[in-house]
Amino acid sequence: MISIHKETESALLLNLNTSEANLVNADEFKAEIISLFDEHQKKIILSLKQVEYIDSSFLGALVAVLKHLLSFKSDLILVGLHKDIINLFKMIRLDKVFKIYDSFDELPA
Amino acid sequence: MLVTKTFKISNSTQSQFISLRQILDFISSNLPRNCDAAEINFKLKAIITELLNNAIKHPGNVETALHVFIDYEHIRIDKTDLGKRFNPNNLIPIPNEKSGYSVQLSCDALNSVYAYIETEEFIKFYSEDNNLTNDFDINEIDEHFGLLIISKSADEFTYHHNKQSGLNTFSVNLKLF
Repeated sequence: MISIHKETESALLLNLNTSEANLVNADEFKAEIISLFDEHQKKIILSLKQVEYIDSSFLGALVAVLKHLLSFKSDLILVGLHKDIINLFKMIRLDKVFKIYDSFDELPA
Repeated sequence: MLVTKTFKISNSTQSQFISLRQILDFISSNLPRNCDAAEINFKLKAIITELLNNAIKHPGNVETALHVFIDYEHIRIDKTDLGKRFNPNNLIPIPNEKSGYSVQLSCDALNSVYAYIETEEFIKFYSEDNNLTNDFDINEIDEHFGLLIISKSADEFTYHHNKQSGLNTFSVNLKLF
């Protein structure tokens, strides 16, 4: 469900290829992204451009992944969130926890 | 105007998503014309998704139903089942001296969720934002958001247990204006 968009010297840019991020695929997502981090050992920039909705289970998986990456002094950055998902993040204040950008192009150098 | 419909929900994940779509379509087609449909639909999708997720996570091999009530000013969704009574942290029974008190269900650096035990059979859920400092510890952030999402999306979120029938009802109220 995750594809590599690009690899740079310092980061791995990934696309999440699902329209519904939910209970059904949360565990698979967590395993896959942690495996990619273990392999490449770089901060991860994850695009949710294709994701139309995300539920509490998947949000929990994102937090778990962020905790894992931060424990290795790395990071998980999110880009391309739809308006409804941004609203969900703001509603439960996860916008205070994750760095969020509009797209890969908006990332600071 | 009062529109009502009951949706019987099985506990398989595939049928949950079919049910979610059917429920949202039914509600969308029956909302008053001049309400903020985008905002209402966003909140309802969040609420119903989490109610259905709760049915998958705590199946108890019982049938779950979602009852939808829409009038000019409100929408109410009741999730009912005859499974295990909701009693996290052993909230019940209530100490004899108290008529109602709050119990913290979850707390992290961002939010707290509480259950106000109004009676032995009736609980109201609510949430509060916590004061977040710049140096908060990521490991203090919770990974479970279901009750929080419903509490924040709904105008009222309650639970009722009928001792005689054993019926559990999670009820969500949303104002349309």
